Amino acid sequence: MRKATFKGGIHPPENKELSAHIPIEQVNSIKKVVIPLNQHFGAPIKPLVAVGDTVKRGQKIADSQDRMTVPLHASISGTVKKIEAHLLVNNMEGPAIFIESNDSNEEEFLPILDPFACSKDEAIARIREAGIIGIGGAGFPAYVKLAPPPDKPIEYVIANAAECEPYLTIDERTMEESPDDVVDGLTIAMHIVKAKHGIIGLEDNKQHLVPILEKAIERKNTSLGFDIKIVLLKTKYPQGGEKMLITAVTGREVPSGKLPMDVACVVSNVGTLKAISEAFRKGRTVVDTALTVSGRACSTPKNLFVPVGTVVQDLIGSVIEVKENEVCRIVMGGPMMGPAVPSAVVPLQKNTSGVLFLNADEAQHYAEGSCIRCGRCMRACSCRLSPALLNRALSINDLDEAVAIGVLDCIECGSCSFVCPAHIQLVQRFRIGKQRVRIKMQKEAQRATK
Amino acid sequence: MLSIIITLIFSVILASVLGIALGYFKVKFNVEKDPRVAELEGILPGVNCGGCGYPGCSGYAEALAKGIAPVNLCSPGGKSVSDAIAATLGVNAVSTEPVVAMLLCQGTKDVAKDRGTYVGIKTCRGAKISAGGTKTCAYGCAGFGDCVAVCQFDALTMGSDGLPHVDYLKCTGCGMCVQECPQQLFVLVPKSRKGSLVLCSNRTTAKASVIKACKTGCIKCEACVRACPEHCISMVNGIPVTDYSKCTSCGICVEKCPTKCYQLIQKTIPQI
Repeated sequence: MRKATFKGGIHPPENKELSAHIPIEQVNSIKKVVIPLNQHFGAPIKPLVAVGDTVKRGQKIADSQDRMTVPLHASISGTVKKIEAHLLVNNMEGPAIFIESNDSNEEEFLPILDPFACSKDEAIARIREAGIIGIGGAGFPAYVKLAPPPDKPIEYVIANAAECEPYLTIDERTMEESPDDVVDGLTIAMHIVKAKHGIIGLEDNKQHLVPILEKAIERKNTSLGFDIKIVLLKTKYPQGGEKMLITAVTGREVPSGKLPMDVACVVSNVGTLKAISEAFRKGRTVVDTALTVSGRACSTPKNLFVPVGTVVQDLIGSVIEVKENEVCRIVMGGPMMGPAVPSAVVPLQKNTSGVLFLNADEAQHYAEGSCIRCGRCMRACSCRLSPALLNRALSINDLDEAVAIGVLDCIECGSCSFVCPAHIQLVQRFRIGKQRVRIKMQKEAQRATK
Repeated sequence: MLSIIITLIFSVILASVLGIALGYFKVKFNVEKDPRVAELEGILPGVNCGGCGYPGCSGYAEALAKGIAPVNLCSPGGKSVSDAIAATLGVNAVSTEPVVAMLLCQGTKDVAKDRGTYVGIKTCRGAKISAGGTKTCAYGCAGFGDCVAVCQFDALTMGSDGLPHVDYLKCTGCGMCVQECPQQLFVLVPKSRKGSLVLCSNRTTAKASVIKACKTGCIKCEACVRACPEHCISMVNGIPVTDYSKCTSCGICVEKCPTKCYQLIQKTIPQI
């Protein structure tokens, strides 16, 4: 089988052996959750419940009529205690709904719907109503991806099974334990966007999943006859980046500032596809976060289904064991792109794919040196930019030059910072640069309207 | 001798041909330049602080000559410059009140807790993007001095207490620090204003988090709102705001505030 890939990228230590063999465990013992209101990428939503209301697991508790919004559902049955600001995964404060369990285990989900019998609008509405967001990354609303404008036909639906972030194994376990759900979700997505081809992009460190997935595809195809194939990818970070994955499996390149739909592709994480399948077949709304808890300061690495909004602190002791005196850094998500949080008081979101307790060895930090112009960052850059030149332009605050070199195309994967022998914190500088460019653009737009 | 004469004649011919060509091109490709731009540039202070929102003084002068910018944007220049601009352009002078920047945060190293060990690059915006700031208070001053770096007038200095300090005598009110601060902790206050002001920007809805984070944060107890005899304080966006048309500077809110967030503006800014 051909091993597809993209140009650039790095090979960080994988550390997946810590949790790859451990089956996913459903956690039901959570007594209180803090559900952040705005977990998706898009416009903010408003709570539909008031303090004191009793809610059931799966019940809708927040929504909005605006575009680019997805509703939110209660992840445990209980009483709404308060609605106020809380520290979130991204280290910012945001509104959240606090729910305390009443141990009733009542559930209220949606009716079952046949995705192949209902109309396209019904199917899109169901995916929105189930609160599905892209759980692989930024939390882009899934229904928006699956409803491209009519002038942009979709050829490929790509299941992102690369899971290129070190430590994380939750996608791998999801595919191993419920390959039928993943394949079913893929066929539903293909049916909705009328795509001819479905591709499962798998890194070759997960080759043992190929027969499992092939059997699942066979089972599915006996009834429907979709063209689904598995493409093995080189194990390389950031192979699971949307644009890198499209380049690897289709040979197409997403133009600067454009979306995958512009090259007739839709990319969805395998977890998102499973959620889509469950939204139709079981009527389930997104109430659980699937995540890997790992790191060498965690003595019990695990793959978990946890109610959305569970505070990490509540898992410690009852579900996972942490070597308190060894924890040097807590990272939400993968170690390459996930934000470090000051303490374990943050709640898990739908798109949190991992919690890593890193010890001093893993969370090493070096002082910044000066650029020695070795060019390693240029070879590592997955977007084929020149991080060294970008850094130089930004260091003198030359925003026009930075935009010309392509600061806005940076996906913040962290490859350049990883390989930099001078330990220059390039990505953070680019993030600041991007923010400055956006502020400048806003100002210019404001002045133009005046 | 002959070579000298030939050189001379040749030089004269060349010079006259080039001179005629230059003269012709000056007329043919003449670029209309507003003479007022140079005049306006002369009037403006020339510090290029960027407070007006245009790229330096020449950028503002061009915008003024085109008639797309108001005449009172130059705060370092103050009233005299805006009057001179108005006279040059032949428009009515707009009154400009001198303003200064005030920091709405009292979270010094001692009273506001750090959220953890921040190891990223040492700028406020970097800390805000990656770690949400350095203090437990999500609205507090990160203390790396992005504002000090942009101040063109040497009016800001980073204190040993971890907060920037404004020299109100040097501050021209250009507002660059207001734009630069990622936490939006600076406001421009008219120098002549009298009344009370809350020196806290914590707009959280979780009251308990303020008490945990900072000893001098506004805990939204609304004691000031109840105590004010003129009823001129109201909560806007989680922060008490004084209505300066009614405030009599009685100082009752300053006394009543349990966390000492209040200050009378006239006591902070030296009056002229």
